[in-house]
Amino acid sequence: MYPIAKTGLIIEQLPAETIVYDPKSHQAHCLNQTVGFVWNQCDGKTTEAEIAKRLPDQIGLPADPDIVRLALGELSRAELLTRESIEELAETFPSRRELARRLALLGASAAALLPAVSSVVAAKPGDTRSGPEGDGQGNGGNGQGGNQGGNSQH
Amino acid sequence: MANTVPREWFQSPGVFCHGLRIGFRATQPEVLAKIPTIFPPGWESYGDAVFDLEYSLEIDSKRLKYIAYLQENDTIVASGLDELLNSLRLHLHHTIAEHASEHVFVHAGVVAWQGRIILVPGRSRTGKSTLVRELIRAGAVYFSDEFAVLDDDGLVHPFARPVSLRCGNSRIQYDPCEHGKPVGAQPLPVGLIVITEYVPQSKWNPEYVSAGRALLNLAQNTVSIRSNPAKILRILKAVASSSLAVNSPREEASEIVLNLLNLSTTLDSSVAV
Repeated sequence: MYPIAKTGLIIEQLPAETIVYDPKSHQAHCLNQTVGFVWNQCDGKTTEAEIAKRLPDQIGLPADPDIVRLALGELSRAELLTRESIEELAETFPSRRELARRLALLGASAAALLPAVSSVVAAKPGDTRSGPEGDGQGNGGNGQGGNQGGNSQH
Repeated sequence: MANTVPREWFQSPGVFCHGLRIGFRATQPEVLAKIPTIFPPGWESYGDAVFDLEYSLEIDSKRLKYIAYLQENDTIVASGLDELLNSLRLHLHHTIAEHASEHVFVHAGVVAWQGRIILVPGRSRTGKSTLVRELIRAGAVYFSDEFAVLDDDGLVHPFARPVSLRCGNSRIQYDPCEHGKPVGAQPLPVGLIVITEYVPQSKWNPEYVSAGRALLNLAQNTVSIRSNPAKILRILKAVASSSLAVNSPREEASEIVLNLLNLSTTLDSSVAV
């Protein structure tokens, strides 16, 4: 298939990560280096196999199509590909655990490049208003509570 | 809340804060003297009668009616004047955070240590105020227990109100000034981002967080990111790219303070946590 990246997104590039904000869904995503690279190749003219062949030179990973397929799966779940691309992708993706094991055999640096996307939902203005003022609990003054917000990592 | 009964309003002098012109009016003139107690940090006098936001206070002490609202929306109802003013202060600060045009407001506890900001992002009830108080006690300079106020360069400005701590079902205020503790006056760059929350029986074991994931956490805690995501992400990127970020749950705030100050002192990505 020729995957196509969704457009109309706000992108900030970090040295080894890509931040993508979808102004329609108000979700923000952090793509690791591998997923960021694969996403950049999704121009509608490049096949998965061609993207895989570029991995060694660009990322330092083997030309393993499963790496690309897993990255496309992450992008699909984060809805960072066009609807047509998502529908075209097969529903079965390579085992993340199996791929992690294979990359681990190549070393820690390769294992760290396992395709990964972290996502959060941007708060609506009223969502961030505190409840009753203050935090903390007990005479020791140490607080109790939980960090809010949908934070997911694919 | 529609005001269908004609009322006589008494106008308080307005304030200018973070690009917003804010006015106050009340149905009782004696209430106006207390309005300045809720002014936000960094306010300036504003003498004109044109406001971006205007709060109205309807007070009838005989009928125990204490109501405030923002331009006929967002009604606050209280059982007494002090309670109304406390709620109004909180509402005002959050309204400023949502509407400010000059700065970006991130929910966070903020202190400074040796010229760099320690920023503890998190919403209410994550324990950031308690951690801020402990950092102040250890010598850090107080900036805020509620908001990191970022400018276009990613510098953090003070938003120093008294630290508000929950104690059982009540709240206590800890004013650093009253305890002779320093309060920030000038904007400073962020050095350390601490992603943490109080978890009973947890162990403090901080791990480095990448700049991208630190940025996501900041974005999640930014009040008005939906209104201008492009600009805000650019600012958050500047902050996340130039600072160290760590993540761990914590139990007692006092037990991690020295570790945080040491981390902030040696802001080098090669330093082991």
